[in-house]
Amino acid sequence: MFPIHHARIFAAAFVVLLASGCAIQAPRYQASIENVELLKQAPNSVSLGGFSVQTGSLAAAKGGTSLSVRGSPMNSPVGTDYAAYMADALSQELIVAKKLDPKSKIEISGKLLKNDISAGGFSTNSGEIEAQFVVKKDGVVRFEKAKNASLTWDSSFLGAVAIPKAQQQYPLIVQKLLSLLWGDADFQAALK
Amino acid sequence: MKRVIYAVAALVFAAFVSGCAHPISLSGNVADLTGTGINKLDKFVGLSISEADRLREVVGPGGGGDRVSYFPYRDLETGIYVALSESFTKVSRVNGVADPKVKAQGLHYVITPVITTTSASPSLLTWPPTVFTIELLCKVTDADGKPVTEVRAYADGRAEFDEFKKDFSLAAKRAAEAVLKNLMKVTYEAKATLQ
Repeated sequence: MFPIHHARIFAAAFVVLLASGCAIQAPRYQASIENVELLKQAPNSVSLGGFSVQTGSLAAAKGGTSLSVRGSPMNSPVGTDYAAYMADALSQELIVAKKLDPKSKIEISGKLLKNDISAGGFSTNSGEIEAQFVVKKDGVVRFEKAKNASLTWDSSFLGAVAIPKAQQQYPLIVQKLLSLLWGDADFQAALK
Repeated sequence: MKRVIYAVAALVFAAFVSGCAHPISLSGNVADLTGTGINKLDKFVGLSISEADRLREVVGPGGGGDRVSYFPYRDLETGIYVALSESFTKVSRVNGVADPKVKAQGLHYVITPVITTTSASPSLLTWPPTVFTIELLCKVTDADGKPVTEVRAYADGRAEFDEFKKDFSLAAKRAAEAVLKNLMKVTYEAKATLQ
């Protein structure tokens, strides 16, 4: 058993941990206006197919369902994994651009290949997402490409700074990933 | 003395590993703002938010003596863009009235938002705000920068523990959704000035 004073110390530490709340969520995706304005130029509306974590991928091994940020698990605020987060991100941008039509014969689907945040560094942290996107028209594949986006940001020795910063950066990495998809000339051609 | 040092070390360690100054997000589901079917004003407008405002982080009070942090301009920008898209024929993102897009796209107005927020919680045990308020003042100028009018929307959002335990930003998101809906309402009410 712990001596009394040790028990008090651990109790105090526990209260601090409890009050600060270790269970965290990634912020809900915010559509990027640049992406929306790019999407508005698309010639046709699209529907969304399935999005999942690719079996056997790096994301399936780590980061697909939960990211670790300085030891704190960070979960997706939508669905049960980060493939759902990606689908929600596409959906939001398509809706705002008025290019989402569930009846469209042009369908976008995707597989999450990599989803990682490295928040252990004391001066800089980074994150990386990779996904395979497929566009089908009338069931025929017209586009199939992997896109990769990464960001690096200034961080801190202190978790109080590093953890919130990593949280805030995650949607920005997704925005960057989608900007690469929407801006791909082959992708735009596949929507015709 | 040794016990005090241990206690302080344990508390510092706990704070370090857990990370306080909890980030919250004002970003709601902006897709809910679309398809309102309100009669749009037949005007082209530019939405202007400076990069400095976009990067402006606000740190305010939460519960239990903790603080919350958020980026009001960055988080609300898309919502404001969508709300204006529901209110006007065309909306573009511009960088002030001097942006060449203002003339090139024939914009009638440039709208610059000023956002003021508050957060609070009476709780001693939980940090997420239970009350969050947003005032959204939109300064409207013509394409030459001459003031036309100001449109002001206000809303508060409230959330209790049973509701926010799965979404710590809930009070802020409710305030954001309400203020954006109010923005559409007050913009429509100002149509006599903006026509």
